[in-house]
Amino acid sequence: MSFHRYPLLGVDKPFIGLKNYIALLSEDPYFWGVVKNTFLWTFVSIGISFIFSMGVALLLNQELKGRNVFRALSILPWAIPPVVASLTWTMFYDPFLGLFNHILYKLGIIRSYHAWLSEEATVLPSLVLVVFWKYNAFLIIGLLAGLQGIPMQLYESAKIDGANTVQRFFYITLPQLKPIILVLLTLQIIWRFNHFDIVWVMTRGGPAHLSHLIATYAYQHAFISLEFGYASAIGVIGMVFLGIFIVILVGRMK
Amino acid sequence: MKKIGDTISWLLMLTVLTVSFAGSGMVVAQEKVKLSYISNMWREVAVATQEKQLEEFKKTHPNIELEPTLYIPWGDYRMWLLKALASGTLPDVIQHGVEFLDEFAQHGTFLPLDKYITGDHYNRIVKIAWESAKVEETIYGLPHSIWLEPAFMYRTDIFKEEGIEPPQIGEAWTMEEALSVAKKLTKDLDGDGEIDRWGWVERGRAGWIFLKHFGWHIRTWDGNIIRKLPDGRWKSGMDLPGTRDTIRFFIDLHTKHKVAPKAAIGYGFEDWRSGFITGKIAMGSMGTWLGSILYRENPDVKWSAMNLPSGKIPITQIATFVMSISSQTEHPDEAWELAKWLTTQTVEDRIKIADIQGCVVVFKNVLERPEYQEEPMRAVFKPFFQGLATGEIENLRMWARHPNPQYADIMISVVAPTVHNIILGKMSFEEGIEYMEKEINKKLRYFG
Amino acid sequence: MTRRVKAILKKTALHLSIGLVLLIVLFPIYWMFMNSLKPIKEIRTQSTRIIPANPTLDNYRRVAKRTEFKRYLLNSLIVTSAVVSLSVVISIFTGYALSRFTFLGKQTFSIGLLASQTLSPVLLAIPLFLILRKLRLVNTYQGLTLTYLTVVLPFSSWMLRGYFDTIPIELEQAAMIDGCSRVGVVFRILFPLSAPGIATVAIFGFILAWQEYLYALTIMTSQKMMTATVGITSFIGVEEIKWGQMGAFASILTFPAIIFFVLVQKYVVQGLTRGAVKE
Repeated sequence: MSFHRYPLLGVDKPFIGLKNYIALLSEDPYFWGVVKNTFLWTFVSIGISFIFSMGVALLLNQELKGRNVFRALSILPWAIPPVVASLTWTMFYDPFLGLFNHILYKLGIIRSYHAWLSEEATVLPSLVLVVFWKYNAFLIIGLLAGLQGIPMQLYESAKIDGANTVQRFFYITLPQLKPIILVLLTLQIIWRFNHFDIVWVMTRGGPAHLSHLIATYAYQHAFISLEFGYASAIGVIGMVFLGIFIVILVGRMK
Repeated sequence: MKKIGDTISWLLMLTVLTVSFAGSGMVVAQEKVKLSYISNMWREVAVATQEKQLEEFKKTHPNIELEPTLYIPWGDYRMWLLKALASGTLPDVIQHGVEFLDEFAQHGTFLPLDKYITGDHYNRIVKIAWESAKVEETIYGLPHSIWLEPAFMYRTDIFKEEGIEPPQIGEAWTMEEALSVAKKLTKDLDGDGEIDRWGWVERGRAGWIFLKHFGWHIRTWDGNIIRKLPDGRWKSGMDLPGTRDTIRFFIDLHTKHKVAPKAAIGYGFEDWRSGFITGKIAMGSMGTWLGSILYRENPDVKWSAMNLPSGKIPITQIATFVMSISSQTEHPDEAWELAKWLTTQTVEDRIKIADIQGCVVVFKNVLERPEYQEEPMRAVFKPFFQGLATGEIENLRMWARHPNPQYADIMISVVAPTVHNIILGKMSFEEGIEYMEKEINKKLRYFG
Repeated sequence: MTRRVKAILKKTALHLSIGLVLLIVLFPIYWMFMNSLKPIKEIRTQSTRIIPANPTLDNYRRVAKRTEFKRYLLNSLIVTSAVVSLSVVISIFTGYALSRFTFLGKQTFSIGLLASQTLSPVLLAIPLFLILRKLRLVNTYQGLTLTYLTVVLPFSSWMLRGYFDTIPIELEQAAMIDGCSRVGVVFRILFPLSAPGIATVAIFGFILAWQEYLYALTIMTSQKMMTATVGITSFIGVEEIKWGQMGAFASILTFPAIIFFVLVQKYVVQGLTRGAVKE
C-alpha cells in the first residue's frame, strides 16, 4: 500500500512506485523533526525510566516488608486505560487551573504558570512524564525480579574479598542482570517507539506538529488527510529505523 | 488441586468464548423493518431525550425496530463515519453537523430529500438552516439546531473594571476597534513582568478547533485559502490579498500586539474555559454552547457576547445540526419517518436537547416566541435569534463549509501548523506563505 | 551510633523513600478517583482541592443508569477472555513447536515473530481494517479478537518458547516412554512447570484486550459492540469532558484489572526472570 496513492474512498489507487517514499524523505518538512522527536522520546524516557527503576528495585530488594504491597500498587498506573490517564493528566497540565501548575508554584519551582502542553519547550517533556508514570512499573518489577534471582553467595564472597557497595553493583549485579536488562530494554524500546495513544489524545501532535511521533504522524495522514499510501510509507520507514536500532543495540549488548 | 482449578477456569473461558461467538453469529428472524440511527449528541439530557423520542416513535410505528448508537466519541465521529461508509455499514439515519456535509455528500453518503419535503415544512424552518443542508441546491438533510460558531465572548466585569463600553450583540464593530480594546485589557496585574490577563485569545489546537477560529478570520477579511479558477480548477488562495491580511493580522495578535500568548496555539477548549473563568482571558471567540455550560456549571462568571469584529466584510458564522438519511438505506420511507419525527414532530424534545447542547432550534415559530428569547441562557443572544427568525442578519455564513471538500484537511494539515510556526518564529511570514502556496496546490493536484 | 540504631534508621529511610515514590505514582489515580466523588460544579471551580468538599455518589449513579455501560463492560470482558484463553492455548503449542521441533524455516519464523513486534500499530490498523472488511468481520467479536491475537501471539509464543527451553527434554522423553502422548506431555509436564510463563502470557493478553483503544475504535462500529475503553471516550464531547462520570467509569473499569494483576503479579515476576535469563 505504501507504493500506491491510496485515498480511502477514492476510486483510483494507482501504483506510483517509490514516489511516496521520495516525497516523505526529501520533501516533507516535518518528517525528520518527527523522527528526531521519536528517537529523543524513546531514549530519554527509557533512559530515565531505567535509572529510576534500577534505583527503586535496588531499594526494594533490601526491604522485606511491604514489597508485595508496593508491587501491587505500582502497577495501578498501568491498569488505567490510556485514554483516561491522558485526560486526567491533561487536566493536571491545565494552564490556568491545573494542579501541576498549582503545586509547582506553591513549592516555588516555577515563577508563573505554564501551558505545559502548548509551549514548545515543555510539550515533549510533559508527555514523557506521563508515559514514564504509566509504564514505569513494568521495569521496576522486571528488574526487581532479576535482582531477586541473584544468589546471595556472590555478594557474600565479594564482601569477603573487600568489595564495597558500588563495586558490588557494577561487578556482580549488572552482569548478572544483563540478560534480563536486554529483554526488558528491547521490549520497552519497541513499545515506546511506536507509542500512539497518550500523545494523540493529549496534543494530537502538538502545536505546529512539535509533539508528533512517527505513529501519530502516520495516523494523521491516514485518518485526517485520508492518504493511506503516504501513511503506510511513514510506518514502514519507522519500522526500518526501529529495526536497525534494535539490531545495533542487541549487538552491542551481547 | 491447582491443576483442576486451572482446568476449570480454562473450560469457563472457552465456554464464554464459544457462547460469544455463537451469540454474535446468530441471525434474528426479520419480521420488522430495522432502522439504525446514530447521533453525536452526547450530553446526558440529550441522550435521555433522544431515547424518549425513540421510544415514542416505536409506539406509533410498531412495525419498525430501532437500533440507536448514541455514544460515539465526538472527536472520532468523522473517522467513524468514514469507516462506516467504507465498510458499507452506514446507519439509516445519521445525526451530524454541517461540517460533514460537503465531504460526505461528495462521496454520495446521503440521500437527497427534496421529494419528501413539503412546502409547509420548508417554510417552518429558517432559510439559513436550509442553506446549511444543501449542496448545490439539493437538500441532503433536515436541519434542526443552530448556534453561533463562534460568538465573541467577553468578561463583563473586566470590561467594567477597565471602563470600556462593549458593543451589544447586533452592533457592528471592526477588527481595529477590537484590537484597541484588547490592548487595553492585556495587563500585567501583579507587576511581576509577566502578563496575567490577555485581551484577545483564540484557541489554536490542531484540528477542527483551528477551523472554527481561523475560518471566520479569513472570511471577514475576504480571503480564501482555496479558490476556484474560471476553468474549474482549484488553486491555493494565498495570492489573494484578503488571505494575506488574515494571516498577518492573526499572527500579529500573538507576536506584535501581544494580546494573546504564544501558547494559545495549543489551547484546547478546557484551557480556554479555565482561562476565561479565572479572568486570565478577557475576550475571544467561542461557541454559544459555552454559554450553556457556564450557565450550568460556573454561574458566577459574568460574561456576555458581541458580534464578531469585522475586517473588510462583517460576518456572522453559524453551525447547524443536520439529520440525514444514508443513501445505502434499504428503507428510505421509514427512515424519512424517523428523521422527520426526531426533528420536526417532537419539537419540545428538540428544544430540550438544543438547550442542553447550547444551541437553538430552527423553527421560526419557536424562535419568535418572546419567552424563548428571554430565557436567561439565551437572553444574551436575543438579537441574533430574532434576526434568524426574520432573516435579517447580514452575511450569515456556515463554519467549515467550503465548496472544496479538501478544505478541512488543508486547514488542519497545512495552514494550522504553518501559521503556528510563523507565530513561533520558525518561519518568516513570506516563507510561510510560499510554503502554504506550494503545499496547498500539491494537495489540490493543481499541477495535475 | 550503634549498629542497631543505624540499621533502624536505614530501614526507616527506605520505608520513607518508597512511600514517597508510591505517593507520587498514585497521586493521579487518587485524584481521578476523587473526581468521581465530586459533584459537577466542584470539579471545575475547585480543581485544586485534593479532598472533595461535598463527596457524592451521584456520578456513579449516573453511570449505572446508562445501560450501555454495562454492555461495554460485557463486551470488554468477552473480548478479553477470548483473547486471553485463545492466546494462551495457541502460544503454548506454538512455543512448544518452536522449542522442541526443528523444521524448515524455523530460524526465519522466529526472527519474523520478533520483527513483527516492531511494526507500528497505526500501520497495521489500516490493512487489518481492510482485510476484515473483505472477510465481513468488521464489528464482530471475532474480528476484534483476531486482531488482538495477531498482536499478542508473536510475543507470547516467543516467551513460552524460552520457558519450554528451560525444561529438560528428558522429562518428556521419560513420560513418553511411559506411554504418554505428545499432547499429554504438554499438559501434564510443561503446563505445571511453566505456569509463571503462562501467567505472563495471560496478563499481557489481558492488558492489551482490556485497555486497547485504536483497534477497538476502528473495528467496532456499532454501539452494542463497543468495548469499555472506547465507551469511556463518550464522556468526552467535542468541547467538554464529563470528568466526574468518566472518573467513576474509569474507577469501575480498573477494578477487575487491579484484581487480576494483584492475583497474578507474583507470576509475572517469576515469568520474566525464568524466561529471560535463558535467552
